[in-house]
Amino acid sequence: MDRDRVAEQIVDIIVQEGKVDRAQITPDATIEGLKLKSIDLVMILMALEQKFGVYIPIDGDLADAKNLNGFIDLLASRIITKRA
Amino acid sequence: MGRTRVVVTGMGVVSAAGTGVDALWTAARSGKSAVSELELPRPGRNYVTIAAQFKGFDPERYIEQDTLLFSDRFTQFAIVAADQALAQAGFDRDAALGARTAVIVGIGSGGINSIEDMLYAFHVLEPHYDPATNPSIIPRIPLTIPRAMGSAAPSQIGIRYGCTGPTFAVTSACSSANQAIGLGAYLVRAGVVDRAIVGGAEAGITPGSVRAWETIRLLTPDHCRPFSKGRNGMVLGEGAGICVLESAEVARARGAEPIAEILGYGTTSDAKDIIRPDPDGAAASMQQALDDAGLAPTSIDYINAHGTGTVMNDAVEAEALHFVFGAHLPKVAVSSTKPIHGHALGAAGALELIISIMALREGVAPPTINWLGRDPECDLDVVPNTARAMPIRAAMSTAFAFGGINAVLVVGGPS
Repeated sequence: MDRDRVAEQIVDIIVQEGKVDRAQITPDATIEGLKLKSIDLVMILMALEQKFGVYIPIDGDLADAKNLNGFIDLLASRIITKRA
Repeated sequence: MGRTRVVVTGMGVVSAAGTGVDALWTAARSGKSAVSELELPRPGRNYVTIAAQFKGFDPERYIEQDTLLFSDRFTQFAIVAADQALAQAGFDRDAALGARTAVIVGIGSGGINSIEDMLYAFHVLEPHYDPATNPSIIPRIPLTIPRAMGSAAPSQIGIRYGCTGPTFAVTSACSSANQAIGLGAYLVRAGVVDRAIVGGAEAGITPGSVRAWETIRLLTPDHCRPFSKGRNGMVLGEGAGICVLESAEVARARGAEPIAEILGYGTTSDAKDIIRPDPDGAAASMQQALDDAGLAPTSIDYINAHGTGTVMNDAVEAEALHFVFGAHLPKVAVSSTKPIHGHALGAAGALELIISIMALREGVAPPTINWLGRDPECDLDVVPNTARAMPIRAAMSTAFAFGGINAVLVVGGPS
């Protein structure tokens, strides 16, 4: 899978399910700054599951993610590993 | 005159480890997990494929057809566990325990098997129903109400043993059983009843409910490892735990042998967030249980933790334990047995209280299995992976539920 393409799709899902303004998706954006709560994470993970067919549990890394880019990177890695 | 003492004179269990207290305790002590490949009555689109289910449960061995007809799986579990507990307490089916006996059972999801069966029959099968070819959907619909109601379990136990005293279900998600047991102890202590049949029952492993649990992202797809680094969720369990509580005087007068004493009970509500646990509320319930028992934290040697294995629960619970136990905490063995019997939700507190009582009686702290290494957010002595022989003077069993309801019990040996 193309990692950049996966990351783009993750951003689309964060925008839609996290109800985030796309303009706020910047390199220095944080989870807290985007006001993403744990229930938003649940909705994002459900949407990713439907799109990619993978179950991503919430582990410490995901729960502790602070920076949006790091968060997207983690999700992309989980998806690519599970689909491999 | 001192306060009325409340003793346990009978215990019964149905769990993924099988029927009986011994089956559960042997699994807990030896660290043998009852988690296996998930089996569901209908194929579902579930991603999580493990659970702690009692696959070989045969209700017809224990329950008469006329009762079975009206009993969802959670009620079947409750009846079988109650039969064991009442037999150990010295009561048979003709006991007619009367108005001085209460029946209080903690229930999480109630008769969700019956509800899901009914909805499947109603939405999927009935539109194409042809009585000539498929008569099997008929019983699924008319029996739904008496099967699904949460109070079916306490009612059926009451019918079985002629208990005409206060009878009800307590439902506070994962704190249900601890609240049912605590309330029963209160009623005995207050002199409202002589005896209370208490505990919890749960049979919530259905295609729909597994889907609901996995999509709210609480289930691990691989291993439940409470308090460990790398933990990523809980594993569902099912079963029932029932205890007979009596005033010590009533038990003594009839020559019943006490197994343990309920020393304290504490219950609080976070009143903050419907899903996010709060360390202050959890700590307050533990402190209240200690105060109720008249014990200092230094008197507790073992804690059977709520320890679900989710990132958040375990960190919050560890924080609450530090508030309450402070400098004594490193000397307390704190284990979660949920990777063994699964998270039995409404029955969890009952299974775990019974494990705590067995730990106390045998002087063995059961292990937290699947533990990979220390998480700095869970700085506890979790009895990693192997049981530990140790004297246990008093034990605590905790439950912290969705909804922010916390309930904690403290038990000691019979004196």
